Amino acid sequence: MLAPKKKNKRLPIWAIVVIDVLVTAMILGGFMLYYFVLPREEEPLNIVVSNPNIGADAADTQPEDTPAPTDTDEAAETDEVTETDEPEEDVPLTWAQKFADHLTDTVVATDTSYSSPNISFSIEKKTAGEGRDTITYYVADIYLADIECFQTYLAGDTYGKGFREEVPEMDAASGALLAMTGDFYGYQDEGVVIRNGVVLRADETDLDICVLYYDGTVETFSPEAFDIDEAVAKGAYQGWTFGPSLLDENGNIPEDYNAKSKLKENNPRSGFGCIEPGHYCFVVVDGRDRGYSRGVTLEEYSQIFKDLGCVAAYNFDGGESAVMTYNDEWVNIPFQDGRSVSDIVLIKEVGA
Amino acid sequence: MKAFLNTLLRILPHVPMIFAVIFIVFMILDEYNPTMKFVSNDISTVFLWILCVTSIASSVRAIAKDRSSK
Repeated sequence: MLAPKKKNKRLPIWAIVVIDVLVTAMILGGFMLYYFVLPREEEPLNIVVSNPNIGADAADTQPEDTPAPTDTDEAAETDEVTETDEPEEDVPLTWAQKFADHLTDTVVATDTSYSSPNISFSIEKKTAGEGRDTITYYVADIYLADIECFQTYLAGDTYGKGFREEVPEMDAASGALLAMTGDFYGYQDEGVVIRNGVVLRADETDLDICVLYYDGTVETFSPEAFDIDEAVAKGAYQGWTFGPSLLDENGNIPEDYNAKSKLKENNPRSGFGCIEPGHYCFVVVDGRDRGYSRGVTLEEYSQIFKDLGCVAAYNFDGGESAVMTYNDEWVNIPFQDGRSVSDIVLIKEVGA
Repeated sequence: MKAFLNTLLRILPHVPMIFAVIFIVFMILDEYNPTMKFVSNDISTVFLWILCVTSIASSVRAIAKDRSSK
């Protein structure tokens, strides 16, 4: 008598599909959790960039006494000559002198403005278009007496991946007066991260890079044109990797952007521009809310900075991340109440 | 050992399918947020290796099975 043939039991198709979908979801979820959500510290390069405009023994100098940027060292070396030949006319003004009309002897703060001996900014809400085409954006016009009033802050005050905080939280934690979303460095493995005069990362990237130097100038670079050694030698104070650059080297709207087409469409945006050393603007555009603000294309965003008189401008993280805060509170109306991000750019009193 | 091998062979065709779906998700996300490097980060590169190796293994097995059945 033959033994009964052992049947090879097979799972029904629906069960196989369910298992495959579950395994896919688990792998995706695990990846997202590990790679983007769970905070983990990373080893920074920690290259300290010295401020070429301040002598080592002058670190405690009050901001009002900060020597003028760039050419001051050269001027100091040839002091005797300039004094005899051409007196004071050639001595560059300090930012405090240059922006004296905007700075005040005491702190004067209102709901939309702030001024002190070191900082002056005013925030203005602007609208353009009408109906479903309305654009609403906020411009913070900033004058500084000292570049070190322009700072950056990392979520959790820690360099790494997965550290995230809401912009108002970071505004409060950093002691900022004015804050705006940065380049979300924590979502990237590559690129340049220079924060408050310290190089934390300097890897190759395919994104545009922006550098703010100690002398107050701002330069944007295509990925292939950037050289970290050169930037450090020139006194890089802050460096970001996101972009794209919103104005070309002549301060004009570029013909094309280093960004995928989806990113060029209407979106909420945050970015900053340099009008001249010591004079900057933060611009946050609200979006995805027809009737209030549809957001702007990259070209329209460039036009805003050009109209403000900027010579360089750079796009930071946008979408839900586009947030500006003043005194720990939202200035704009972020899409879906904003989201937590990994870093901010901020204006604060030196030593505060 | 044979049972283990059989289980592996039964799982094999599912692996490239799962990782192919993962890469489709990554590519869609990458289109919207390229700075997050969904497709080209370190872990995705490992996933890509798994996809390639299991695709080859699965294809070889399918071809061999097809030839032996004729």
